[in-house]
Amino acid sequence: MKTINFCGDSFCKEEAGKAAWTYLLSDMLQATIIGFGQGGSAHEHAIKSFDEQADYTIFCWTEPHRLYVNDRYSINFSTIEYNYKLDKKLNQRDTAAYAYYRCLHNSKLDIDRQTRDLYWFDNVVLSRYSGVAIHIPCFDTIYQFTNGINIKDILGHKRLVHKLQNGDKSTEYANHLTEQQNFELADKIYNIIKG
Amino acid sequence: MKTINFCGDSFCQLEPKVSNRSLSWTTLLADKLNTSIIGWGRPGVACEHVFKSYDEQADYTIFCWTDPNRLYVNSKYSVMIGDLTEDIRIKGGIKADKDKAAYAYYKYLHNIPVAKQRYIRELYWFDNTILNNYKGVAIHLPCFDTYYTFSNGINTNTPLDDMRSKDLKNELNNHFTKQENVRLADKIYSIIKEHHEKTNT
Repeated sequence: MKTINFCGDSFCKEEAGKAAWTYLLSDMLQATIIGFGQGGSAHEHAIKSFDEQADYTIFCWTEPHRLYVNDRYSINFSTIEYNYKLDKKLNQRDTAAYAYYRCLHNSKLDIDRQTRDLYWFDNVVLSRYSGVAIHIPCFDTIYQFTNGINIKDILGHKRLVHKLQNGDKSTEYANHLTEQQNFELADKIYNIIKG
Repeated sequence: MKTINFCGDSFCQLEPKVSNRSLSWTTLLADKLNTSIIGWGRPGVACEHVFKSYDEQADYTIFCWTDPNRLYVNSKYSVMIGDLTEDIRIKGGIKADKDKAAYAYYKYLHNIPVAKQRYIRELYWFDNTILNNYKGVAIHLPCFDTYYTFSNGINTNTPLDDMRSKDLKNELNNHFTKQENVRLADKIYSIIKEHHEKTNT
């Protein structure tokens, strides 16, 4: 049986018991899922979870400002700030992360560095990949890959559309998308792969 | 007059003149090549500073590639854990918010293997998208360790730190003694001269 690997953040994380686009797509391709995204992770996680043995790899490329600490922990400023404003007790690592974003973070540099990481990954790693790679931007298209298929639609925009329409997250079903959007996304990627 | 640009950290920073004369290897090399210096390194900087100080108009560019664990914040502030711990040891603590944030960053968030990997990726990017268009002569000097071998420019093998006698009392400029400065300038000059002979330029 063929294999499929999802490399990215919460847009492709495991959503047990739901008809999420990741399961729908793997069923359509008759492929076994060998990896899911990790909620809140930095793009480094997507790079590290790449497996050259997978027949299909679906990358969900996240925003550049997340800070990768290790394979279990990445930091996302909005989460840290949200917890800080709620007066939730931050542990030492989160406190350090908050200080990092407040005093040291360079937004423009993060964008440049993500572009450079992806350039290297594209030219050094993906250039040797014999499977099918699909690149889906989560929030913005920062880099166009020369190896694999670039998707123009931005996952975050789909989420925004239904948030604007409904005013809250109540219609989110799995991976930040509605049930309908999960079906549409699986169909779209399947057609691209088979087309 | 031809130009030379030094891109890196304290190993190629501007040093004060003594008796109206600089004995730094940077100045000695520029004199040998009959070139005008258009840029020097800055102490303590991260490699991002090197990228930003690169000037494609320079006829010669001497890169001193520093340690991958330095953190670039902006054009005025890069930081390394060694300086912070030294401040704590000597001054008994760190006061500036930026320094405190940096210390916490190194303590709780910094990942050394990932910093090395990202450094290699960044040098690969710089090599293949920027230096591949450079018309001048680029010399790559590793400061502490060789992490990447460039396909554009001339690589030197011995890290600058290994060329130091570490005879601190007699260090004159750029962490080197007078003799070491002369030796390094001679070495780079010979490499460039050999390059010109090979390429008939």
